[in-house]
Amino acid sequence: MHNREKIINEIAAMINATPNVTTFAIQQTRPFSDAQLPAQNIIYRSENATYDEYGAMGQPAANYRTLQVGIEFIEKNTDYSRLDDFCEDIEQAILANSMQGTNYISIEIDSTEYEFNAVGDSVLQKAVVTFNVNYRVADGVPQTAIN
Amino acid sequence: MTLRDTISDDLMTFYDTSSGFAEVATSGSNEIAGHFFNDFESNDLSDYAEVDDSDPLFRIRESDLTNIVNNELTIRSVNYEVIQQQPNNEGEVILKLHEA
Repeated sequence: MHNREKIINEIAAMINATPNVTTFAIQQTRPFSDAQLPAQNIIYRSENATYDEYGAMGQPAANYRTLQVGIEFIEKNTDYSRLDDFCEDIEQAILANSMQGTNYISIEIDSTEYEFNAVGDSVLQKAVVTFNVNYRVADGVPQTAIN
Repeated sequence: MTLRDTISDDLMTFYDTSSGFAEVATSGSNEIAGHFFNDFESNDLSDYAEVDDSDPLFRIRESDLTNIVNNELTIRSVNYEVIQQQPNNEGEVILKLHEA
């Protein structure tokens, strides 16, 4: 299993108990129905890698990587304060564990974005909280973190 | 008879609720005849997944606009808020609705 997937699973475990969420998904690409909202979807944004030819002392060359993970919250509601409540829950759940990951070095919040859409039968709203997750793996061994 | 009168007469038939296709919505104590559409649509709000949605519209005669109280309509036992009026300038208005 790629270390990225381990990180996603670790994050999922941290936020699994987020209150007021009906559907908890990891990279769901199927449509969300009305009954599934409010929904939370963990999504990959991107990953950057920096090659370190020498690695740590006595270790093979390493890759320092920064994985961007977004956590979407989607619901139909006109109570906009719910988005802030969600962000608060997510930030607390993740940043409380930011230095305790077994598969990463640290997690930092990167951005928060809101989006609204009133095209349909009610206001759809979305918040995405994006985190940067820093980790390191040996070059060519992406499945094992060497923190 | 002017063309406008003819159109108005035709609308009377189109908005007949007893033997036509129109149905009755209520607003306050007023009854308003119209045609209700609530087509399914997929909303692409999410980065990854679409979200099921619908697009409720109610087409009425322009002369019935004054019967709408507080922008509220009840259609098929569902309460809606009128969020936009889209006149066709031929005697009818399409009301865009949100569930209240």
